[in-house]
Amino acid sequence: MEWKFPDVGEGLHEAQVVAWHVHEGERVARDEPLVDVETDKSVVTIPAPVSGVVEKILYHEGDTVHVGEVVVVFGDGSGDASGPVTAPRSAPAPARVEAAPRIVSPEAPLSEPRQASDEREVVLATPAVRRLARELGVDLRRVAGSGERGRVLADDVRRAAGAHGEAAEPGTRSAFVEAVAEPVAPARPVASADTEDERVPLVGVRKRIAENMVRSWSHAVQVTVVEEVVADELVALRERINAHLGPEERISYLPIITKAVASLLSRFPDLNASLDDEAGEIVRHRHRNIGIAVDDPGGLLVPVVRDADRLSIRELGRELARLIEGARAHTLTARDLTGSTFTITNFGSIGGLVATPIINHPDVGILGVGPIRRRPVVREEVIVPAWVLYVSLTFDHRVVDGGTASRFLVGLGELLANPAAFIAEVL
Amino acid sequence: MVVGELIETVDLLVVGGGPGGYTAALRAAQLGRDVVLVEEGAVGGVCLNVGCIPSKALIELSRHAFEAPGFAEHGILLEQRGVDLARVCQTVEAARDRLTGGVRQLLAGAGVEILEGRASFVGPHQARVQGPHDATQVRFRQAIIATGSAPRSLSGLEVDHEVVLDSTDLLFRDRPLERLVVVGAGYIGLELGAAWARLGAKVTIVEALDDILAGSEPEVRRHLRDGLRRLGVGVITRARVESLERTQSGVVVGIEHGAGIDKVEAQAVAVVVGRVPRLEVALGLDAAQVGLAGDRVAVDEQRRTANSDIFAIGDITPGPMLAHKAYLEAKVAAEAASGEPSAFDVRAIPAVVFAEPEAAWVGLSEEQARERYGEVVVGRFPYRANGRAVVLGHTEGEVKVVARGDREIVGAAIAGAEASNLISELTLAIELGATLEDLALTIHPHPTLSEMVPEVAEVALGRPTHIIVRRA
Repeated sequence: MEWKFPDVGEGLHEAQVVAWHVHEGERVARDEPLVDVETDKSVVTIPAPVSGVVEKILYHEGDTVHVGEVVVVFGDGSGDASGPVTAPRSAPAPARVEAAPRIVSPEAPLSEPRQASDEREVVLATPAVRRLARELGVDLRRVAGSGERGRVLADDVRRAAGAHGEAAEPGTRSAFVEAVAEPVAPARPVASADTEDERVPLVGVRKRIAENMVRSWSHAVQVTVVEEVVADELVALRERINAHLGPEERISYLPIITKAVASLLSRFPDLNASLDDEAGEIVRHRHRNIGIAVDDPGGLLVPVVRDADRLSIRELGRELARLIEGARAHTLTARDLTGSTFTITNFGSIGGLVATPIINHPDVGILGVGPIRRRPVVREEVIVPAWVLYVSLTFDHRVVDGGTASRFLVGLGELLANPAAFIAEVL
Repeated sequence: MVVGELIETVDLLVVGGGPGGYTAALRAAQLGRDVVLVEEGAVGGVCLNVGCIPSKALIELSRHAFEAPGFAEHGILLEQRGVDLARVCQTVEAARDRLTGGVRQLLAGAGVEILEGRASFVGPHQARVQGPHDATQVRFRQAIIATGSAPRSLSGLEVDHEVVLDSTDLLFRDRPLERLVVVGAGYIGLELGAAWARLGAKVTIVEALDDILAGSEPEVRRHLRDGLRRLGVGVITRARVESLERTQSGVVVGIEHGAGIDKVEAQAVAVVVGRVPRLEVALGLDAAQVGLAGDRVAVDEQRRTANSDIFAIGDITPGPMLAHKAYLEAKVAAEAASGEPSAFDVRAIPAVVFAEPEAAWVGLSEEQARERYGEVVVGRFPYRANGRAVVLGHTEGEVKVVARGDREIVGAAIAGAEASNLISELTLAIELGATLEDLALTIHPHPTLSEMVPEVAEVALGRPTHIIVRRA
């Protein structure tokens, strides 16, 4: 029996094979893990659609499979001396018997696993998930459930909704990376075919990042401006805030900077914007949704703080903690990963004095935040030590000019250097 | 209300004030709609006025009356024995009045206007409401029809409320009944037959079909037959009333069955042979451009009729005629009418029978499950193996669960005490797509009847704790 790669929903047409759980010649019971595939957003384990012997695997790790292509061929084990197919582990026998009525002839190929494994007339989903699907306009039958027995979870529905929504947009915003925080080995010329070189397929999130980088680089005209901020008062402010918040809610500088940026953007609508190339229009966003670049071994992700200007610093601290943890644990939903109107990358938490980050397409601006270090500054003609922070703004010169960008960056520096200015701006 | 045939413009017109109608009105009002509810009789519909609620009051009182004589055996001594039917009737009426009053308050609180009268549609967006004194023309933006159902009548057994009774007569009777013939062994016949048997009547139930409670699981039917036998209720199946002679003391009912004709003397004969949707011609569905499917209104998942501005819910739409089905349909229709993406997509509608004992079921029967899924897993657990049931003295009955081969629960049936309350957990299990393991691994408080739920799941899984399973 040939098993074709199913339409797993989410508007995806292809996926990359990451790992097989079985080898050719091995038996597998229905619903046991068969293969991991990586889509744009996640790695999905696809269970075996039937019980049987894996006779042939046609796509191997790193291969891209398209919907409808035959991926694996199952045998019924008839060539095996051990007789009829039995599940090696505890898969309940009735589950297999149950599949029989739908299969007209035992030899008939099962075209799609969803059909084969699914005699239910209705999709397995709780009433609340069913309602969510209606609210988001998602056809549950077209969603690949990630739960046990193919159960469709709320996150599956949200992901499906997100995927469809994105497909309608010219560019997607979900997975973004800027070069500084993610060390990428420089591309070697392919000609140097050294057999000791390791070749790693460009798949999944990494591939998505690469595509987004190219899209951003080839569309936006990117210019970077850098400003120095004497951060003595910012350091003191954070200490006082943390003394007030207590150990559980202690914040980094990021919530304060996010708050300052989100508030200041109200005066710079063209920086909280995107350029709709096709329509030839600048879209000034009503919401101020701040994307935060999060470093992760699996590839950089940009979760989004929605309406960041409306959150208090304490709330921002909590939300950022949730998003950063979620990004690293890969538990964020499409909603958490899409819809930024401006981005902040805090490369300073790792290192590097100044950076020129790449814009998170189709945003207009991205703020780079460096480390806060003790540096000499000149105060009243005397060189004194101080806490110093470098911030950089990379902007799309098609939309805004250097003057606007510099005014934004100077204004931000003022908010960060002077708590009184900060309070006057954000409250 | 204005006098004469002035035309009033209404945002949302709800026709019928039963469980479906008043719920739809409340939900729509919550969603900011201006709602006018038309009701010709009492708000609360059949359910609150002459159905579920008063019958449960009567059934509960009849249980107490039936059990009271046994109290002495267990050391509880009562001074007075007997049943004062006038007081029983007052209690039943009080329960009804309290709940219908509550519904009135809810409607008033939500700002729903109640228009007394009978509605007839005269156009796709217009209806005429004939009140007790005047008529009103109503032009509505949208409407929800919830006219409910009425008892089915049987020719030759026309209800006269004297010797040929309907279910309402049995609910609010303040005089004893010594001998009663009940025609119809559906849930109403069984409930009221059992109630009057407990109150001291000698009851005979006549059913045209092969068995009582057509369509329910065989286990349920068996326990109900046993329960009725304990109450001294006679059940004659495959039978029909062939003759009715009025006498001075009541009637003589000729009951024809396979073996001949029995003449049964009784004070009264009650006709409870099901219900029919109330879709009289006078309702004007044609004018409203609302289409029918068989004897019900054709509706889509949102309960929208062929006229996209008119919705229909409750007993007049396909499905079982049950108040709890109407409740959810009402919310769906009110939300859909208000632009929300609601749909009536439930997996299972539980059914309950408050007979002797209580019975309830939900989802597929074992037979239906086998037809659909081939192999199924079934578990049965007897009440007598449950500690609480023993303490309560209600050891009759069993819980049955039906699951697919992959252990997903698709059906359940319960006969026994509190079956009506126990069935909800199994309904939720079906809605959630829960498995036998999910039930078995959920802690249930001890000692309760609800412990039978994980127990029956364990039986189905082949590892019960409190019963011995014979090994093949």
